[in-house]
Amino acid sequence: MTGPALAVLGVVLLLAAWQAVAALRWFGTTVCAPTVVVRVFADASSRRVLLDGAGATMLEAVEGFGWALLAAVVVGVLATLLPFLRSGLDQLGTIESAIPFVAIAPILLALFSRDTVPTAMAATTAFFPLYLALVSGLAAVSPAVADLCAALGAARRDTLLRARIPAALPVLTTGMKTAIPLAVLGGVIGEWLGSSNGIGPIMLVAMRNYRMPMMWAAVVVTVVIALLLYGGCAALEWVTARRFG
Amino acid sequence: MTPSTSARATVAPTARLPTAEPSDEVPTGLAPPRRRPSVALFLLGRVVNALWPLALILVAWWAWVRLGHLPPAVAPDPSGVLTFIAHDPGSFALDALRTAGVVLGGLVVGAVAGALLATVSWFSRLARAVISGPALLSQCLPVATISPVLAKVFGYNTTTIVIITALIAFFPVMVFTASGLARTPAGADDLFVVLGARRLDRFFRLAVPSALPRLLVSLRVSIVVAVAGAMLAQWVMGTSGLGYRLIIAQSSFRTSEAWACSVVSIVLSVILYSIVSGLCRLASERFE
Repeated sequence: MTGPALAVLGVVLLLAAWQAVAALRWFGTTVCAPTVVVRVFADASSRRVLLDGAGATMLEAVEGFGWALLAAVVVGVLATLLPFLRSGLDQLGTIESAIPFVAIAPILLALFSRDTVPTAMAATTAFFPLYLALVSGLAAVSPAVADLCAALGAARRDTLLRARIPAALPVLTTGMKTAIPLAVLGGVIGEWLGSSNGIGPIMLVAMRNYRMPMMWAAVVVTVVIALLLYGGCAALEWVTARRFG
Repeated sequence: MTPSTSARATVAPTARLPTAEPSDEVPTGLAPPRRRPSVALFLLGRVVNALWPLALILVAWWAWVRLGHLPPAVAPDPSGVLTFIAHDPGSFALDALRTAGVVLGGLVVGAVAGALLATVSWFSRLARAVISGPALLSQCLPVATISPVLAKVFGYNTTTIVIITALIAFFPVMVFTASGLARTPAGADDLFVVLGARRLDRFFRLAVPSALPRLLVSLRVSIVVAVAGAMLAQWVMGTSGLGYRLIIAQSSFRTSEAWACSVVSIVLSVILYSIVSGLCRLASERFE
């Protein structure tokens, strides 16, 4: 058997284990079997609710990711052009990344309206890996290329534009791959802070009202969202690695 | 900003060279003997370099609250929060300890499980291939998003929070350890085989030393997320610890207390992260 086939087998085994745990009632009625979850998706009205929620969450995650990327580019280029700021900015970034998600909640609630909090939260959680990837990518230009630029008397701006940025792109896309799940996480947590749309509230409401099939369907939707966005970033990584790697 | 200019002042003597080069980055051996910056100035530069981010945060926070004329119910200023913590440091320390205990417990459980599974996948090619599917799945799914579900399944208690933290720590440890076990120095594997080393010897004397730094790196990756995940679980489930206190304070509009919880948890997170990265540095010096 080949590698991918075995990997699929692993996922199938996982699903089988899930079905078995549900059938054996190890956790009472809290675990719904995959077959029950499929039935939730078959129902038109609950499918609508779930798809609407998925769309909202995906939009928030992507939007927040975009803001985080913009901020990472601004700060990262600043840290590269002004080296004396570098260690301080790194430290700021580390502190920012160490802020527990719920700890930033009071700050975001004071700054934004409840419906924009998910986007802001996604941006905060996704920022640091992007910044880290960008800064290390901009530094990853090969010494030979850097020497050549210096020998040809290239201005700092030209070195940045023609040598550093192309060298940074593959590293940045790898960083995007690690950051996008965090953006999804930030979006969902932001929704829990009081937003009315998205998959997060659906999950929370289902949990409180003991609608277990709906809750597990929401989990499946979250997994699919994460997979789709991750797959997009992985594809982007593949493309840049071929072009610039 | 003044700190940055003073930091530049200590660097300046090395940067400018009296050559015709348009770029000032090319090191040449022809530089005139440069004056050493005084020790005091150097130390000042280091201190400024280390502290300006913190100072910037505090000043920005203070300015935001003061200049925006925000009432304390919306956002308290730094001094308000600090006096709130100073008012009752014992209870905050206790809550922080509770959270830290849960995080460390989960981290140990998750790391042991992850390392064990990575070991299994080192010994068996089949296991490695089968694990890779669920591993990829878990890599792109943030566990904390499904913490309400886990709470429902395992019950609203501290054990569940340990399980959530363990799950968060588990996947990075497994992935990094497996890649570390496979990343032995070039040729070393062949050498061991030629010298007739048994598989077990190869594992303990070759694979484990090369995997150890990776394992610690994975802990550095997961510690911050583990703290955040534990806080989130306490916040969602309402058991004990900083996260629980935060949600209670928030929902009863005691903003100062909520912000104080935030500040304490950030400090806790930074401290735990520094400890793990310190261990990381030690291990990479010893094993690489």
